[in-house]
Amino acid sequence: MIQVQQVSKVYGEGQPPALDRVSLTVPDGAVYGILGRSGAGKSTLLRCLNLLERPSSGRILIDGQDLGALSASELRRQRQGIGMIFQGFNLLHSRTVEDNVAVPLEIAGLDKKPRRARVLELLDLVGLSDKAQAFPSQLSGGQKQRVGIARALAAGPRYLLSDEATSALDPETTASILQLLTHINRELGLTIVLITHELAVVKAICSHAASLAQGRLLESGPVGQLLADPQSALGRALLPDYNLPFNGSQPEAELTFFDNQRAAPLLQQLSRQQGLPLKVLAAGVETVGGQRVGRLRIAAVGADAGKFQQLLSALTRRGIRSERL
Amino acid sequence: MNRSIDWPELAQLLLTATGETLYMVFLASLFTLVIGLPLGVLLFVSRPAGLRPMPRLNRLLGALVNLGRSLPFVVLLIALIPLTRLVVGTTLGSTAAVVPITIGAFPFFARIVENALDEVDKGRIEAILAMGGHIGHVIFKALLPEALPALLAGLTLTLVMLIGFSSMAGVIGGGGLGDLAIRYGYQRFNNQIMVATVLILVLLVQGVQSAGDRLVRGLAHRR
Repeated sequence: MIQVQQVSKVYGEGQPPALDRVSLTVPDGAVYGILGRSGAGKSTLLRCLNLLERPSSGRILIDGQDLGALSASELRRQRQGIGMIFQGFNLLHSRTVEDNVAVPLEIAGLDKKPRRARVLELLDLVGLSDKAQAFPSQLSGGQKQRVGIARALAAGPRYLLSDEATSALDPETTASILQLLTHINRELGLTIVLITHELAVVKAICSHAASLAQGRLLESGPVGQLLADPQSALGRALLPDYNLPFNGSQPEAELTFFDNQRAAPLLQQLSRQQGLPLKVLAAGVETVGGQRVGRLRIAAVGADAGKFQQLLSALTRRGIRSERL
Repeated sequence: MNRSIDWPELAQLLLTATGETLYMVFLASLFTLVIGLPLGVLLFVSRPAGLRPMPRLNRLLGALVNLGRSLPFVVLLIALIPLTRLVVGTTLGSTAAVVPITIGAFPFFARIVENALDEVDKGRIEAILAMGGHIGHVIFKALLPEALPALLAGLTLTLVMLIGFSSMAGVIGGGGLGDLAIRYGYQRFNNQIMVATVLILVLLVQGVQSAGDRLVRGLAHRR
């Protein structure tokens, strides 16, 4: 578990803080996505998690251990348990793929033989066994990131920090890298913290999400909870999207539901009970954070606003989130 | 007087002088490398925003390096005579000349090293730190190997400069091709010797430069 407690980072006096009293908890096994525009402080926050960046105040606890209280050598040992991947890959161009993946093992003091065995195992995991002797300059972006991931996993970390790992990649490659990260999370049980400016990344793989703006944490929590919360701007942003303007000629509402099987019959039933014919204007279903989420835009035919409101209240009582437009 | 020398004698003179030049250049470049490389690394890591910030030491070393580089070599050559006597025991000959040549060259090389290390992508340094590496890991796994092509190009530059310095050592009787050029070409107006020394020096510099270029290209090719 990673706990961020009231962490602030100030670079210079008179400047606005890069991080302003940020607190969040990353539970074990989570894929925690931190969203924000560039300059929001995401990168600073991520770098605080392995103390590449020292917070000006506040604490970072990893499995209950306060990073700031560690000696230099204890911190280095702790860092061996936290892998990191980067937008720019940061591979060593003077080394082959195989030797790049071996770096953390060299640092950990592993002998040459077990080192090589482990490296080959990792290259196999990321699907690059045939590129062991290649140099990074001979690889595509996606391949470079796979090497970066293999390297980050080499020392057998419990945590993986991802600094915009897919931002330099095309959509297809991004999808394959995200798939690999999901695999690592599920099969190896790594807890992943990733920062990104792409909503799609959070939608695709995150179990938890947070949003950051001007150094402040706006919202955070499990994706399911954010989606179900009508007040959550982040939840709303993660919902399936259809671009349908509201012209105000008839009462309309947005419905959000997690149980497809139940939602449609329920809607029909209520519509009949209240004698209020409904029109479905748009619909979408997506998988967000491993959860299927449906969205409907409905309109009341005959424009009985009072009855429409009653119907919406009845839906809300039955667990379907509704918003009157 | 302008006595012409016969060919065997000429060859003998040139051979000895070339040997002395190579000897000076070899020893001085060895010392320049041994002193300049660690100094350059120290200059880089001790920067105020460096890996191991030591602003005062950094300023002091920077000032010394600048001092070494701001003196014309001929002045340094003469100013260092007492030091040379202290270190080598004599101020004459090729071995004695190695002292001022080294002192003239290592500050230059240290700056080249510092700049070469500065060109290494900071993300690669960060990656090593994030893995739990210490400063030694950063230097030997990232900085030096990643900067190797730039370091080799800088070393080539330094070698060429060293050849120039070694020729100037002739002024204080350091031996070598410069010495020969001064004693025969300048003081005795012997054009044969003058032309021959110029030719050999040009060949030497060309050889060093193209060998260096080839090495750098070879390294850059696979990266």
